[in-house]
Amino acid sequence: MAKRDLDIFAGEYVLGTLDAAERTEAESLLRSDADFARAVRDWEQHLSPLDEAADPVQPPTAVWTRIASAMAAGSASASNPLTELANQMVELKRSLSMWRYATMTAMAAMVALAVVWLGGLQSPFQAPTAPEERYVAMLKSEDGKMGFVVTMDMSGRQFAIKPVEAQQPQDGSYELWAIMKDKKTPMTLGLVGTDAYAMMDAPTTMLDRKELEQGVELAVSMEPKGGAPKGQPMGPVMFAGLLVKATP
Amino acid sequence: MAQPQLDQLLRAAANGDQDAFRAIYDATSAKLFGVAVRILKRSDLAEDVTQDAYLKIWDAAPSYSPDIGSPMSWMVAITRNRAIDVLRKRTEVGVDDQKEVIEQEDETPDPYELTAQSRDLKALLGCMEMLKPDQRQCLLLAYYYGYTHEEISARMSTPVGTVKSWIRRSLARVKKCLDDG
Repeated sequence: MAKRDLDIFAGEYVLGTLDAAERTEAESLLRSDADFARAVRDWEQHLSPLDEAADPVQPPTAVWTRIASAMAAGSASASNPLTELANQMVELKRSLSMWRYATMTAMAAMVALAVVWLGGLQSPFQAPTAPEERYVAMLKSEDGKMGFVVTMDMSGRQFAIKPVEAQQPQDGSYELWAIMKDKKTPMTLGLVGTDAYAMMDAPTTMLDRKELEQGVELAVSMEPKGGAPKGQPMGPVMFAGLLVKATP
Repeated sequence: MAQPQLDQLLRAAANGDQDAFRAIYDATSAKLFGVAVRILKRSDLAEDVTQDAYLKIWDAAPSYSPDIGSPMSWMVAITRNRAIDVLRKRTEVGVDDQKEVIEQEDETPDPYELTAQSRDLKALLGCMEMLKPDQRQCLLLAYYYGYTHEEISARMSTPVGTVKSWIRRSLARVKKCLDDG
């Protein structure tokens, strides 16, 4: 793209007129092209004064509650989140490639949990009146993108998975796995979409406090459409994070 | 005025200071939530977007530097991007529930009517003066609501092709004017 066109494309991106496909294109340019990234920053600075004319609206207090519990989850999982995460990912990749060749143990066939679209439902992150025991995991990619946030409610025996920055894979499915310290193979929790919240039942082992104390890792891998054919992850890990207690 | 203070708070938040982050939230959440509500027109979606935006701000605080803009414009950009992504995703999957739609007066914010304008806003509006009123309106509709070319075309009863070239030409003129400024 000529410099001038690049500049205008950056302007359209910041202005907000691009459609979904063009936005994806702009976002990948943003990561790969320093000139484009600079052009976007310039436009952000040029246009943001327009917000002076926008009326502020006070958000409900529950918004902060949700932010604070997700932050607690993030900082509890690592002292230095980036290096820690990188280590976790390396570790996870290593173990995933081992699984590939390991004899497939007959794993209790977890019924692949259908992805339930609950876009219209109340947010599962809503602050409860009495504090309930909850665990949160922020599933991030190697380059720090926050793909999904998982919140597990111990008394409800369910967890909510919420897509954040994960993009729907072109041709394949995202599958969610739980990795327990003392189990050799990861357990599938089902396919996850990137359009809306999904509520899923938490298997009993995932609710086990001893397991949780030892550390239950969640990972989203990229699998063929419809999920890993043998019930074991074959594809690369896209996002991963540790389940940590988010309530006192 | 409030900028240097936000700068400092953001630096503290980058070092893991949660109280500083709370102070940032208190100072800016009404602005960011307002941005999200305007684009999404639904409180529940705007709440989600605001939550995501602050988590991203918390995560990305260490990488913030004044070179990439004021803290406020940086935070607004994160929120707008997230809001527009959600908006596009919804249009794409054809979600069309009218649930909880916030009734907004159908009146685009008018920065020209502001009594107090920052220096940057004055410069921008000065450059936008050069555009024809319709073309200026296209830019404002796009910025304030995240409308696509097609949506602007419908609102302004102007062919899409015309809207597209108006916007491109307007951006080029505004940019040149600001650079020459």
